[in-house]
Amino acid sequence: MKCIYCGAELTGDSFCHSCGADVSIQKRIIRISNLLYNRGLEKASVRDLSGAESLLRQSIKFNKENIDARNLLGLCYFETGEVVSALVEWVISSNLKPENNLAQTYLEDLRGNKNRLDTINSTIRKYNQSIEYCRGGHEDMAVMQLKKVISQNPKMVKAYQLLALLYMKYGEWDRAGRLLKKASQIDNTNTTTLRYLTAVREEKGKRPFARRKSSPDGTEEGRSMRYVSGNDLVIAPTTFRDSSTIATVINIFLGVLLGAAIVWFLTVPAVRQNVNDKANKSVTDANTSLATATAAAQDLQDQIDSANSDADAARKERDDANKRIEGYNDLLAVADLYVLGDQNKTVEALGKLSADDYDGEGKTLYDDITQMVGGALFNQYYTDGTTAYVNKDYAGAAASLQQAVDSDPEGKADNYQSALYYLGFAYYFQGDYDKADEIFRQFADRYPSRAAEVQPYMSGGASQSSDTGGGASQSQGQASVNMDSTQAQASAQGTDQTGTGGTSGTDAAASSQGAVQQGDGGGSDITVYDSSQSTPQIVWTDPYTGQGYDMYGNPVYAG
Amino acid sequence: MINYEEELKKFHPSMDVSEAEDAIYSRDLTDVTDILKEMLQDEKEKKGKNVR
Repeated sequence: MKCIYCGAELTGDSFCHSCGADVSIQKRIIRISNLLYNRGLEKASVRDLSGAESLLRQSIKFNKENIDARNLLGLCYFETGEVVSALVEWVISSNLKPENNLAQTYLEDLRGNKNRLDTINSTIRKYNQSIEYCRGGHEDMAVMQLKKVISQNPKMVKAYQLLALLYMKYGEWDRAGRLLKKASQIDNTNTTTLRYLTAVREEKGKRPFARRKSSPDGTEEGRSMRYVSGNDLVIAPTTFRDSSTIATVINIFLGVLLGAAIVWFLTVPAVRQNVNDKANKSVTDANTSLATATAAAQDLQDQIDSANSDADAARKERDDANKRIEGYNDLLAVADLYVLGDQNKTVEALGKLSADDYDGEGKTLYDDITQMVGGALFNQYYTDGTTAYVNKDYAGAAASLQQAVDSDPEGKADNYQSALYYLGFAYYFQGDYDKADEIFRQFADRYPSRAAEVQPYMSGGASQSSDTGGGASQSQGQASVNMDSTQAQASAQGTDQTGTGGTSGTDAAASSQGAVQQGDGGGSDITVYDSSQSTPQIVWTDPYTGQGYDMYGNPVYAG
Repeated sequence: MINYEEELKKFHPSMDVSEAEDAIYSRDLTDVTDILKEMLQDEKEKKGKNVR
């Protein structure tokens, strides 16, 4: 601080040490300036920018060299969008104090960002243009320009106010209210903003906040700030509030509701999806594991089945082999019997064998033996069959006679005709009419002269369907049996390989026919061949020993 | 009630950057101290005239 009289530097005393002048008035002016700066700083710190600007302007009126007050005033201008006014203050400040001045920093920041300065300048021009539009009646153009201004310079309070005024003109109170709220957030005691807000609230039927709680002296308790602006006493709230307690509660409730909705519609589906994905993946993995295990189990089961099958096949093969061995042993035994000359036993043993059991050399051996003892084999089967037939063992008779017939496919044996005949009746009496028909037909075809004998018994035993048919049948059967005894005897004689005589097949047929005719007389006496009561007939002679044998294999001695 | 026309008259164009220089030069920087100095100077001149 310098003395206004001599320009010398002043000290703490109330007079100048250089010229001795009283400087108390000068110092008082400086103190007032500083006091106003301090109050302006307090207001600026609570965003009461209008109040701060007023006080700071007064401060520099008292002391134009109060650099801090001027810098702060520029900052308040800058904050409310009055950038050029801010520049003016900072330029003056930097000229008054070129060194250690914050204003230079602010100016350097602005100069360093030319685009920003251009943008601000552009918004100022658009704002001015908007005012012209409004005055010219082109409010719609003004609204468009002001929207651009606000978007490019969101701190320009005057633009908010003008746009809000336009909205208010067109009755868009909500929009105007929103704009004024934003303006009040920048400068919360701007009288124009507050006036417009009051108008908007009144228009919307809301009570302005300035009337909520009034103290007896008309000021708001604890919420107001009083200051003098020129000759006016300005009473302004320290904070801007546009909601009541109920509105706050409602807002909190809506906020909670909104948060819950966000969680429900955004977070929960995501969590649920995540859980579902994990579950699906687990199920897929489990299915894959199960399928793998099932496939492995199936493979093992297949191996087990294959092994069992192989074992069964091997077992069957072993059994077959054993059977074949047994069959070959039997065949060798038969061959041994034949070599020893026991033809009867050979035939008997050969009858128990089957040609299908042999192949290769074994088959050849079987065929050779069969050929050599073929007649004897037929006779063996024939004798067994007829004996069983006489004893009414028709099943045994059929089996043996069938073997006899089968052993002589060409029907060369002498008793082949009788064997076929009795075989048919054996089947017939068993009730196997189909088989009997087949045999009878075969018999009739082969021996047409005797076809009449079997015709009544063909086609399912039609004779049994009549009342007398049973008796006739029985009679026929008895006659047949009766004939059988003689025929069997004749057969035994016929098969005598020594050629000692015997009835021919034709004779047997004739005797059979006679027996049938005799059988009509009834008589159930069946004459069965009895070797003890009749003369034994030699049916086979041992080629080596010359010993003769009857049909039962008993040796027959001459005389 | 807000009167649009009246309110519109209160809005004035802002200075743009090109006008800043003129605003700086035209700014009246006279403060209370300057007024005090001027008053003292006037007082001194009056005393000088009376002395003559």
